[in-house]
Amino acid sequence: MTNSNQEASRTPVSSLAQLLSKPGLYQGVFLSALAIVFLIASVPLDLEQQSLFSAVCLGVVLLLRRHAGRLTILMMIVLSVITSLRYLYWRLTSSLGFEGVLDMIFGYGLVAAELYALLVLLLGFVQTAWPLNRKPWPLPADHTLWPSVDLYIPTYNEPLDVVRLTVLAAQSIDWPKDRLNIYILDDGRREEFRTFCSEAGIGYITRADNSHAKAGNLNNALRQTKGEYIATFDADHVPTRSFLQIGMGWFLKDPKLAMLQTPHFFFSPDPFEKNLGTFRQVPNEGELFYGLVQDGNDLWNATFFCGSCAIIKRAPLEELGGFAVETVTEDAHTALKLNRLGYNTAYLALPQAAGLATESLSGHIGQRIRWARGMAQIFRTDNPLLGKGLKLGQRLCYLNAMLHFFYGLPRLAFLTAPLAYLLFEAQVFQASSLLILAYALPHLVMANIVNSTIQGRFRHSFWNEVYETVLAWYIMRPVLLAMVNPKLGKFNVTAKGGVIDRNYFDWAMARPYIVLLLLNLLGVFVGLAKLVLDTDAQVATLLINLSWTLYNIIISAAAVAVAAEARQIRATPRVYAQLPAVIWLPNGKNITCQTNDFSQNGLGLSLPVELALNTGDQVQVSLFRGNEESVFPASVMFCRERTLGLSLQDLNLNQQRELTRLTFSRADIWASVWGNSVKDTPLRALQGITSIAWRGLRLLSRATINVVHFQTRPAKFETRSSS
Amino acid sequence: MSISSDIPNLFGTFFDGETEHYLEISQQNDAYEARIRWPVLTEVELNTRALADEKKISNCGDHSLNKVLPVQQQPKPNSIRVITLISPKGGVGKTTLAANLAVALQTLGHSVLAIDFDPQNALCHHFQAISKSQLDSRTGIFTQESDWNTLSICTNTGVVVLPYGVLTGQQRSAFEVSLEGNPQWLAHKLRDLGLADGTLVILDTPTGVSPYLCQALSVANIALVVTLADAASYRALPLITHQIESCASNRNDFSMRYVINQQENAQQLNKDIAKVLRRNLGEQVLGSIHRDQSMAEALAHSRSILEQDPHTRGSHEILQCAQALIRQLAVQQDRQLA
Repeated sequence: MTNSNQEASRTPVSSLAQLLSKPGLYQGVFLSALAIVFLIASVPLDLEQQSLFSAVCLGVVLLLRRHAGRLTILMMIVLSVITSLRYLYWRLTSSLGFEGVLDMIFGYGLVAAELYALLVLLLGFVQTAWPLNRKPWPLPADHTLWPSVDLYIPTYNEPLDVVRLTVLAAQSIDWPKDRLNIYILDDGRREEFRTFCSEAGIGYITRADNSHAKAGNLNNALRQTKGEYIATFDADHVPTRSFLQIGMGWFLKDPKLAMLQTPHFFFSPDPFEKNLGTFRQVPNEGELFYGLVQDGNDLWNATFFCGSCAIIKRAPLEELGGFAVETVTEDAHTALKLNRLGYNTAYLALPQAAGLATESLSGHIGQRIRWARGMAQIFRTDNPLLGKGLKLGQRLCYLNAMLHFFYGLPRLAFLTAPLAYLLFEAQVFQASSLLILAYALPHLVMANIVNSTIQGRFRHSFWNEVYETVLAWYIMRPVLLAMVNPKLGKFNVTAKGGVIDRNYFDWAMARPYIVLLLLNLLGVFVGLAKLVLDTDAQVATLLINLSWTLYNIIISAAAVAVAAEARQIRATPRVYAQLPAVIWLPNGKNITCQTNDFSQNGLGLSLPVELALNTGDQVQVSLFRGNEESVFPASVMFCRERTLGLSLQDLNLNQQRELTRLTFSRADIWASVWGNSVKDTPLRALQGITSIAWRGLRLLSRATINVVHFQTRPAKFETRSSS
Repeated sequence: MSISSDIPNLFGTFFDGETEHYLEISQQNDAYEARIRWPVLTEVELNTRALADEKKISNCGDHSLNKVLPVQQQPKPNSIRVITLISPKGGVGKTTLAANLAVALQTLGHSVLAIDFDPQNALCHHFQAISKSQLDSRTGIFTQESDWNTLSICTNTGVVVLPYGVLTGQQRSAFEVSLEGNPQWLAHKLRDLGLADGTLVILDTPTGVSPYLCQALSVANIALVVTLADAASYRALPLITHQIESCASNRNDFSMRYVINQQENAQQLNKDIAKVLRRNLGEQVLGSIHRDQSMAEALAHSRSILEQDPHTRGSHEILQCAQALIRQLAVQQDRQLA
């Protein structure tokens, strides 16, 4: 590779960004392109012409999808935007002549929801059209130039077992020992933690009160340490050993860089993955954000801090007065403030740490409520569209990050919209059914196809609806409340590492989805009845609304399925990885084998031959990293055919550190599974969701029968996991 | 310093970076701590001159050692190649290793001749097909006039073995005196055998410095020093390496390699010495073989560990060493051609 090529591949200044850096040219091109798009969007066409136009656009998009690349995706986006804007223009100019109060309430309500969805769609395109795809910048060979780092592990109520793993992994980070200081910031003020810190040889920082929660905790530590950089890890985020050497290079390259974020990767299934059985098959809720959105933000220099797995430069942070404390999402707000001061933020899409996902649906929802509330608070108190210091791209990216959390009400509107017609005969579209189809269908189909092409690796089609439906009801109220008064609401900590010891149906959490499901089922019955009995019925309109309702039933039934909490088999989640290992048998023989999985205190091994081992037998097991080998005492949990389960219970601190070094802190362990879910095709995704919905219906009926059978009130009978 | 496999995998697979500047703190610290723990012992300076010479040539990194090449892809030497096993002190398992390496090389598709050049005459005990009658006291390589072709014994593993034979003390002294008088004796014997191109010859030599050693070194392409990771072996190493250097240095078809035998990672001293050895000798360490009961049991059945217990660690490590030998020979050959 030639020198210049190397330069180009490492520098994140893409050709697009270079174009955009010439303001005159950029503005001219941009404005004329906008004018053309609006012109095309507003040309009046009759039904046949519009159908033909849409068909051609759709055909081109499908053709382009086969050759998806950066430029073809841009072309697809343009076509999708044109179709959607045509729909919007038509919707606002030709379908609004509502008659009567009922029509107007439902009609304008739906239009408002549609406007919101369209705005988020457009902003999303801006955000994700050209992910920067930044690569690590190499550090100087002279180690004395490497800066000093304070590694903070803030904790409040996480158990020591969880934090211990993070600390041991942090100690294994490959960074000069005299320039890496690790601190536990314990807001729980637990003696047990203080003892552990002195045993492990790391710092322990605590304070008198818990004011400003996590942000206050970090700021307290900031005043007591002196490192040039701060690396923060949530108590359950286990870093790999290469974290700092991979992430620090950009700071030395770009002196204006203030924050570099890496993905949050989870090695345990979140409640969706656990309860729906989709772990590593369907990308989870967070993957779109870390796989694509943040990488897209990076192009616009609008990457935001996510509270963990990130490096922050001390000087700019102190210039701000520390981490932002005004909102409950101090992380995003801190990044916004850094950007306002003219500092750069960066994203490196390479998982260099992994953590525990929230265990239960209620915990998951609690966490998202906090995010939603915090984003609404920032929107209210420090709106990215206003104020100094931001470029247009940054404003739009931050705006979308905040608007995203306003989906609660619009999502509920879409989930109930067809009922307005089916139950109340409200005409939310003042147009013929065929025209509605000719405008709305191309808009929806193309937006879905284009998004599937852009996001397919990190979000499967229609899953967005499922994720939003589960959360919509819960985040709607705090967001609205925060918009009214940003001070309302309390910080809640996400509980992690709990155990769900049996299957149960979370009635309390599922209530909103059950209501939605029942309403839509009622809608279908009423609609079908009209179709059969009412001779004057508008068949086309009924069919459109019935199909929409059917889709809503599928989505809300899938949401119901999420509330059926599946029993968790292991207290410590396992990581699936094939690593070389050696078993030392009691008879002195050593057998070479491979791990299937590992955890903090156990190993699953796959053997080349069957071994005569019994539960409780004591053996030794070796793990490797290159030439390094460590031997651990272990006891046999089970030995079936060629599979062996070992428990590593009685390890001392050094042995635990060794084990962490050879397993969790491997540099490539998370990168090798990230973004490797099954490829998305919209039809297969819909099929998958439909079967999940079917399961949701069955689980709901079974749970109902159980409740009726035991004649017990669900609130008493079904206790939620204590987390 | 070698880089553990997870780093090249991350750099190579996900962003095409260069691993040279990656700093492995933990490895560095380990070697440092080992020196701190055993200060007297680690004062002994090991010879690392050869390492500097060969760094330019050899590109087989440590991590490639673990990858098993399919037989067809293995480089085959085009003339005969001699691998001499040497031990600085007794009881390091040299003969056992010689026999097992011979079988491993044969398994990998090479023709192998194993010559017992050690008066202990122990090599033949590792091969089943060699019965009492074949070990007649009249036969053995010492016989001046003997035709080695008739002496050689084809074993069931495919390895051809030449036993030293059973000698009286008088015979042995006479033989050793004649060896000293004729430094080229072994070279001539080998030439007279007319071995096919590509044949690998494994030479087992007596412990320490002896008239056998110099003869064996004069024909060797690889001097394979078998050592334990213990204090006695560690101290004895400089003497033997000095001898090897003086007998065979300055040949471009010669290299010296080490095998750390009977390694025991559960013992701190053993583990530390192995680390120091690896750090000081770098790529000169061909591999290590861990203590494995199967190795002892294999000898009790007069067979190799590969036949005895193919899944044990010993088997895997013997095979890896054999592959590393083949690679080293290929590198040598490239160097000769160039």
